[in-house]
Amino acid sequence: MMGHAGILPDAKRYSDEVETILLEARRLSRSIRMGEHGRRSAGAGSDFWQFRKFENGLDSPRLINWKQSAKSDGLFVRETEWSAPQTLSIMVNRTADHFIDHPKSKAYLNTLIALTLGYVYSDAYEKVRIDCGEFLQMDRPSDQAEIAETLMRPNNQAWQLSTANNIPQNSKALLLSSFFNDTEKLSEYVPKYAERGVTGCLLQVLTKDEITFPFSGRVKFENATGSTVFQSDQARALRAEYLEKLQQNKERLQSIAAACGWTFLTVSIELDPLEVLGLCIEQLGMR
Amino acid sequence: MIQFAYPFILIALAALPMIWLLLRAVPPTPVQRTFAAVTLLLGLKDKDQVSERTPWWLLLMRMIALGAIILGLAKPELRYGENGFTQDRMLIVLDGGFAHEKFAQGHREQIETLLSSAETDQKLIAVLDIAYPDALDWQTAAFHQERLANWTPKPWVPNFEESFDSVASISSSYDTVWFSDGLEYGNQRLALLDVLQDRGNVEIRAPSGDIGVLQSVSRDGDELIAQVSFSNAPSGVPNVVFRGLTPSGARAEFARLPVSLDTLTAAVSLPAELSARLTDVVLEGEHHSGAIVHVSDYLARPRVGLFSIDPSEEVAELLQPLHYLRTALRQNAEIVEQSLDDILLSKPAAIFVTDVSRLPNEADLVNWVTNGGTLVQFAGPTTALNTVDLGASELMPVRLRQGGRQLGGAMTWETPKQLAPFSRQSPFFGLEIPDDIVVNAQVLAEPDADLSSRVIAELSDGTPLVTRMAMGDGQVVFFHITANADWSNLALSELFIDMSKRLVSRALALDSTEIPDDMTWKSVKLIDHVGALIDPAIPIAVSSEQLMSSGISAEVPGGMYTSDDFTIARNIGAGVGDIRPMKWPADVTVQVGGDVANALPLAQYIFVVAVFLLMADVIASARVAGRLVLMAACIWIAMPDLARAQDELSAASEITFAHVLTGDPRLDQMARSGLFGLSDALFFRTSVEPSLPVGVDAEFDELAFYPFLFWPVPDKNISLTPNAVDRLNRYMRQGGVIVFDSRDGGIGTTQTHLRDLLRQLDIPPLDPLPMDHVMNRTFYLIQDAPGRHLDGQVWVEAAVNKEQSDPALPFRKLNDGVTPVIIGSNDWAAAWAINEQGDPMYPIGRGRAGERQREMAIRFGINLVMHVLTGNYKSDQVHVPALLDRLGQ
Repeated sequence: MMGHAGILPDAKRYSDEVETILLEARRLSRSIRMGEHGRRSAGAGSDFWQFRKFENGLDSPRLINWKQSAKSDGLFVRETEWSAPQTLSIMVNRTADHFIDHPKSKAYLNTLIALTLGYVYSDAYEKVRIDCGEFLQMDRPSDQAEIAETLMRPNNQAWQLSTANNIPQNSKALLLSSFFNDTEKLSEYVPKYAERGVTGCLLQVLTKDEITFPFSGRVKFENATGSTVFQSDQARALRAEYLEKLQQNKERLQSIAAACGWTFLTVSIELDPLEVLGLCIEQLGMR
Repeated sequence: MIQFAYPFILIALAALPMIWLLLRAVPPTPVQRTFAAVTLLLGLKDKDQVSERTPWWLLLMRMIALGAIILGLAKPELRYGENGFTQDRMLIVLDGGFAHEKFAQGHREQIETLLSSAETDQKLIAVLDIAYPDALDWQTAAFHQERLANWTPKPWVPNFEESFDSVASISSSYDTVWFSDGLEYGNQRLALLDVLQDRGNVEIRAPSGDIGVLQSVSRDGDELIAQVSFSNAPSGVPNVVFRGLTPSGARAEFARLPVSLDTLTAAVSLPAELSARLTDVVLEGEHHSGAIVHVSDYLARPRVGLFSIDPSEEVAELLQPLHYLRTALRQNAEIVEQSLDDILLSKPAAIFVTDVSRLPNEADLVNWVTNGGTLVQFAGPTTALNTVDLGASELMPVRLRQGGRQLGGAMTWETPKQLAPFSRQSPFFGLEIPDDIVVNAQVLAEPDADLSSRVIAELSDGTPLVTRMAMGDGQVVFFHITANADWSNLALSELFIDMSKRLVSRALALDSTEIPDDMTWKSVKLIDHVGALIDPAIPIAVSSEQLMSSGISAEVPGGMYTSDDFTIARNIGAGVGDIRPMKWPADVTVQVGGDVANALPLAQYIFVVAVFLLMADVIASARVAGRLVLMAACIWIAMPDLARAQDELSAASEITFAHVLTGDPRLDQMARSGLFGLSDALFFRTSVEPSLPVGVDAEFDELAFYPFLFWPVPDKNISLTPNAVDRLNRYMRQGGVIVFDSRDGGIGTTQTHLRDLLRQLDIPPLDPLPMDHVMNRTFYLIQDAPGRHLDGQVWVEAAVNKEQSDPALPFRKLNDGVTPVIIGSNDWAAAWAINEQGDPMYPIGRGRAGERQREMAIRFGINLVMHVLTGNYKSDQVHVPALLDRLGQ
């Protein structure tokens, strides 16, 4: 029942876990094929965009495509489609609460999603930065293991969101958490990100128990660190009220997101990671 | 009035209030849950304030349960009525005969009650078992309690003489309780009763039921007749059951038929096959040793082979060599007249051969005789000419002298000879020889050293008439005369019938009257109190006289007795005769039935109440602690077969797709959603309307209901149990299709696991799915089989006739039958999968192209199902024109 917060993890098992999750992410990323992300205009890129007439004086003669020009009378220039890389910043909540029931924890799903998106977008020549105290980049193989290691280890402090300055302008952001204690923080930070033209997605990951509240009788609830405790004599009677509070929490998050043009998503930890990834990619608009 | 056997235990009741206080102080412990959303709970209030302590009613329940246990341990007894027993000694009399077994259980309980109240009253007890009488031995009730707990009636008739002696010899005074089986055994019972009444009060405990006895089972031609007897006319119609062994040796019921109440018989005609294997006959509903008859040889009809060298020869019937044998044996044996080969195949008990020059199949015959067969040969004209050949045969007991011997003819000196009396060693010993039997001709034996030991019947001049030689477990017998009336009129006599019966006596015809005197019999099995045969601890030896004359008693108990070649069964019912109910005199107290106790022990009821209370306590505490649902779930998990059976029921009535459970819940969910999506598509587009897909476990579930199994290969090693392998192979052989999907586009690690999995099954040779395979046109005309991946190769069973495809003919006639396996790697289930809202669950391909790919995947799925359901129907030539039209050719 207890999370592994505060317990020095066995080194061997721990390194196995990191290896496994990296492999799993790699495998999942193979299942997703990204399209190229052309900008629908001529520019730097590898895909063919159009042939246009050679403008004397404007174009360097070096750009003339002789193969096309030989087919007709005029001279032609071959233009490729502009495909500038996008940047995605992923921030993962790593407080001990996310490690309850590890390795079937929220932290596991969060890490898997972050790493897989990292692989998927790196393969498509996008930039993926993952917040590990500082931002590390997924396209650097040397950083990958460190990212996985950091994400799989609980953080003893409260969740620190990155300051807006650390997020590149006009980029994308993805926040992974259960957001039970973070609404205040989000309502402060998300508008600041949005000011810099950053769009993104809040992905709320919930366990089945949190969604259905299947408890009854005398129950003593406590969080992973044991710092917050709540005892009930008839847990079943609390169900309706709890679900309402959960709904309020979701609505609050939704309104924070909507106000800044962001999106908000709730998923269950039971879902197939592939399905969650599909939703993320859809919401981020980076197909 | 309630009395306690151990009243001091009641002191413990004083401790109850203390336990009450102790239990009240401890509230039920809450369940501890680590719950991340606990912040959302903060500030919520419980609806109504439940006491933190254990509720009072729960406490009360526990207290009552505890009190009940203490009360029960003190052994309370409810006394009522007076039995008029005043003396401090009590004699318990038990009939203890075979019929008592029917009421033994009820009487054992009554005895226990009687003894426990006697213990409370501190009486001295003695027990008299009439079937096994002994001197009276006065002991405490506790002493007898132990002995009588295991008391069983004896499988014979009660012995009143000795019992009378042991009671009459000592004249002290005591009361008597007599447990009776309710049958009248002459006047002996009354004599004993008189003596007992002199000693004190007598109370009779008579059973309320009646007794039925199966007296005998006899054969009348083809019919077996069971004779029964009842003490009172039975209320229903009881059945008689004929039981025996199946060829494999298992016990089976051959016939069950009601007793005719007029004649008190039940007759059945069993086929010879069955009657040969009959072991016992039982009168149903009686459960005592008198209601069962163990069948010995005398009911069996053994098979006897008759062989003559040329049976087809047209001879007048009375001159036929086999005619007299046939007539003699017909009544008691099943006769086989075939070639010697066929006779041997039918496994006869004996073979009779007449007048052959040389036996065919001699080696087989030797083998058969060594294994216990009896070969009986008769002489004749042919034999007389070939004595040298025959004498050398292994199957001839004696060497024969050249030529026959004629007696009493026109050209002979000697007169026809009569038979000499049979010697004691002869199997014919005891048979009466009529005066008028004469022998006119015989073949003679060479006077060898062992000739005399082999002669079992001789003529008055000492020449052998019948010789015998033991051989392995069997014997060969030679009649030095013919089997018909040519050489002797023996064949016309009754003696001949008796002699031939005796020869096959191992399996033939002896009822008690025919048993030779002066023999010693050994018991090989004894009948126990319920009528079963058991091995005797020490075999009993009895003489023929004892066996036949005296009734069933402790000295000559019922059972199976053998002597040399004979086996007979002594059954209890036969010695009992007709039975009548006992009519007790008016001056004695008779309690009928089981409800006669005047003290009711209460402990067991109190314990039952305590157990129920404790069970209720478990449920109630679970409810209070909020674990009730958990408990119910445990119980539900313990009954998974129920859910499974329901699945199978619906699977059998509708088309249901099944996926094999892999143990990976995500993968199983995906397979389920995939099949759900495919079912949905089929429902909309075709006339196939499947019900909801199910997951099956190859090891436990019945697979026969599912047209195909979808098997997504997980990314781990699967090792199948032999049972599962067996079931899957059988499933494929019976026309089932298994669709394997490695889900990796043919490039991933699951390929290895797939290979390992397939290696365990019987997979036919495979080919890549050819373009003109019928699966590509069962519903849609398709070209490839995409799933989430596009390019994975699909493998099906290789075509048997690999004719080259002809460009002029668009379709070869391949795959005449459904392939038992379809192996792919395109992750079809992911492409088919939809959620409850009907939306696709997994991203496929890129953008619009992905939708197209999903559609093609569904079309492939539909074709797959159609192929599974219709087989090669679409490869029929009838469809070719339509197909060509669609293809634009």
